[in-house]
Amino acid sequence: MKIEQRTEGNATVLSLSGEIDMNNSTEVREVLRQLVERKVQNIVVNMGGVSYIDSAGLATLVECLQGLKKYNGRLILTDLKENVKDVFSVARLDMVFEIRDSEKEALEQVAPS
Amino acid sequence: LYCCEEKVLDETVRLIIPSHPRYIRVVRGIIAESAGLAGFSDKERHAIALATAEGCSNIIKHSYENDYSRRIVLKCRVREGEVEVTLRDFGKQVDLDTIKPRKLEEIRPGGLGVHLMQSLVDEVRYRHCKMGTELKLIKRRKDGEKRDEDRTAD
Repeated sequence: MKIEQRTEGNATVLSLSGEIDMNNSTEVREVLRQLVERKVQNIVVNMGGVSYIDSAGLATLVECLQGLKKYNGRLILTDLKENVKDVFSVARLDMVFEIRDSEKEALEQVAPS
Repeated sequence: LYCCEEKVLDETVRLIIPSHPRYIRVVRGIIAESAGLAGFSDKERHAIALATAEGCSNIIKHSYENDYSRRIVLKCRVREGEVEVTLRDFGKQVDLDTIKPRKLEEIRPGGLGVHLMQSLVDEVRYRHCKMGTELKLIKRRKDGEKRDEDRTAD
């Protein structure tokens, strides 16, 4: 599991690669928890490098979303591979999360008008 | 006269893993490959591997209460168009009536594993044993579904 973090305009972009499962979701959870604690307004998670996600990975993202909602923050997931998208769909979380095709599209959405 | 008799696929893979989350990846690999032998597409192979992984996660969390030093016995019966996975633990027995998928309209972390298992395979069955619990997951290939290699050959 690799996590890269950078700032793009008014968003914090996390690029994840590898697998987010019971074995390593705590690493992602910790990074997201810190961002929520700092009340970061816009978090864009580029999941283009994520080849697998399980219920522990989904729970990590749900937890972050709930934290963000408390201060009207925004979480956008991008670049999901087909098999990862399928898991969101089976869990019916594709309607809960903001999911965009690309990081560029997500950044345009959160850019100040 | 030479007669080539085609054997019917019916084989079983057995594996014992430590109850550590890092071995779930190993299990996924075995299940996905076995499902490939049974003729499942890549998408279906991924589905049964994920369902099995969720079963293992639940055993580690609930039966073994995150004790990583126990063991999980896996049996995977492979037949043409069908995979039957049995996961056996020797830990705490959870009341089977409490194993239910959570309501999906409740947006909260946790409780998704049972829902994923039930959605991804055709049958999910629990049985208490003298010691521990047995979980059986069965997935059957849908009529008309083709292996990826057959699809490519068309």
